[in-house]
Amino acid sequence: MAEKEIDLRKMVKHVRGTVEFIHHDKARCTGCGRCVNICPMELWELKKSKAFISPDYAEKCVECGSCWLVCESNAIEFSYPEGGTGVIWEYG
Amino acid sequence: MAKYDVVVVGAGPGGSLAAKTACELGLKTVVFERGKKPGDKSSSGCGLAPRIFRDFDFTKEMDIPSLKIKYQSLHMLDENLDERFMMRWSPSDLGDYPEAREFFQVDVYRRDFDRFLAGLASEAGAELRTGTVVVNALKDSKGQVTGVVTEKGEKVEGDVTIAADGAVSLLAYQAGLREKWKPDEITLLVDCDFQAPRERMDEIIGPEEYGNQVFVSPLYPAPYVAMMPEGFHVGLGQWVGRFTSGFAEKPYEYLRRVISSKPLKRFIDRLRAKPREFHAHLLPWMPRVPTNTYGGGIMLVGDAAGFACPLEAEGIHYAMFSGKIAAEVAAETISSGDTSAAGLKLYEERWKNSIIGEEFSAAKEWAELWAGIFFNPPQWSKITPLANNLMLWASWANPHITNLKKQISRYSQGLPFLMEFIKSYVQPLLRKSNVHLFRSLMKLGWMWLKTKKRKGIELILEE
Repeated sequence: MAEKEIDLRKMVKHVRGTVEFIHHDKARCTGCGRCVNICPMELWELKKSKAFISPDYAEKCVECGSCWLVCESNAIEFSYPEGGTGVIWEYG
Repeated sequence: MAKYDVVVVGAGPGGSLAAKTACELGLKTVVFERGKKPGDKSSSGCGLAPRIFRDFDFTKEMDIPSLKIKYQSLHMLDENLDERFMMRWSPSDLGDYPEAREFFQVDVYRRDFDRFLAGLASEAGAELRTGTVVVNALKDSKGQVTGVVTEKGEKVEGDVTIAADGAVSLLAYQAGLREKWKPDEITLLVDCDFQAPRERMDEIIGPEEYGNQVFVSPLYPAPYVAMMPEGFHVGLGQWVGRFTSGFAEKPYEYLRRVISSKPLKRFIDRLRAKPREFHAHLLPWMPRVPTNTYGGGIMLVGDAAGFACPLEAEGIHYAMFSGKIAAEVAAETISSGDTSAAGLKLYEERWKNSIIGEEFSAAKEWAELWAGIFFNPPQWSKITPLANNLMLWASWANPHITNLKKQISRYSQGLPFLMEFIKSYVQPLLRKSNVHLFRSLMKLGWMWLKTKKRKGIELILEE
């Protein structure tokens, strides 16, 4: 039987914060899909020509800022979860 | 309102060196770090270059888990991911200081290294405020940065602010120094930490033979294996613009396939390694000289400034080096009373006249080499067969002269590609090294015809 493949992305430690740190302005979103292509955690998807971020993004996001960086219509606003929360890397 | 001489944002290698140096120069310094502990937010980027040990004496006494990397290897794989050519080398005897002759890099976990450096900054007198996010720059009516605002709304004033807040550097953006990075200026890296028993690593690899490996193939952009004190990292990256334009596949998809590929799977199994932690981060990789690294009251250091080497994006040394320069400039400009953009221009002059400036003098050529070859998988369907046939003449398949004829035929077919390769990637670098390829070849030919001694070949150096 084939070994079941592990999703490595589950191997990230998070301390859940309380603030929303990614804001997405649907009105500005052009549905170009760049955020969908770049996000290493695959937290974005396109529905009816608009990007949507997973509702549980704060538990998975690794705060790389890629989605914010590639958004040419500035529909994505990115900050950081409050100090001491979010991703914690022990073996970076 | 709290008031400091220097406000540092980010306790990575750049921020901690800036803070340590500023304190040693008598400046009242605070460092903000958004992680609960320094290193919490540092995702890979683990190799310390020999020049770190040359330029920063205190690293010689560093007592953290580390692994000296004494070999490098390049593995060329075909479209079935079978290895067709491999080369492995040790540090050059031309190394001009002991560390350069001894190892390529020392691999450490950033958790340990960042805490070591932040500890030195604290010992020097810096106030370290961890678990605190800086959310904006404070500015005066002229737009000069006068400090920062924290997530709690606290305003902290500083004569000089040093942004060491990494590749994303929201502070550079908020201070108005930079728009977002361009798609060809920054890469995204995905990486997985594997844990392996050290006895097994020593047994299989040899305690003195640790090496880092790069695997090239027509399938994905040059993944690497970097040996670590408790195992290794496997990762790969690509310019952001290539992910968004459809040139490259999704980053995680690449990593997943790399890890399940034959050579990697074999390596992982042999070392009885287990995946332990996933990493992803942005990394500036500039095909040009960084600009806008300072403004009124603010300087950018390390990744925030774009200071990662344009060939392989090594950034820790340049972060530490630029952090130190920024602190020295802060001390001088605070003392002279001019921390405006005109005063802090000194920072740009200093780094441009340092080894950072020297590195970026060929930024375009090095980045193009990497973008055109290593991060350009289709090239390897042409390069690997040429490399694979390098030793065909020695084969026992046929009489050696028959083998050699076959080899010559293969290489003559590959000649247009080789010429194009040299013209696109090698010649620009030779020009930057003041070697004029065509004139050198002409002179070589002329000397061959004219001299009877036929010894001593000189390359023509341009004035």
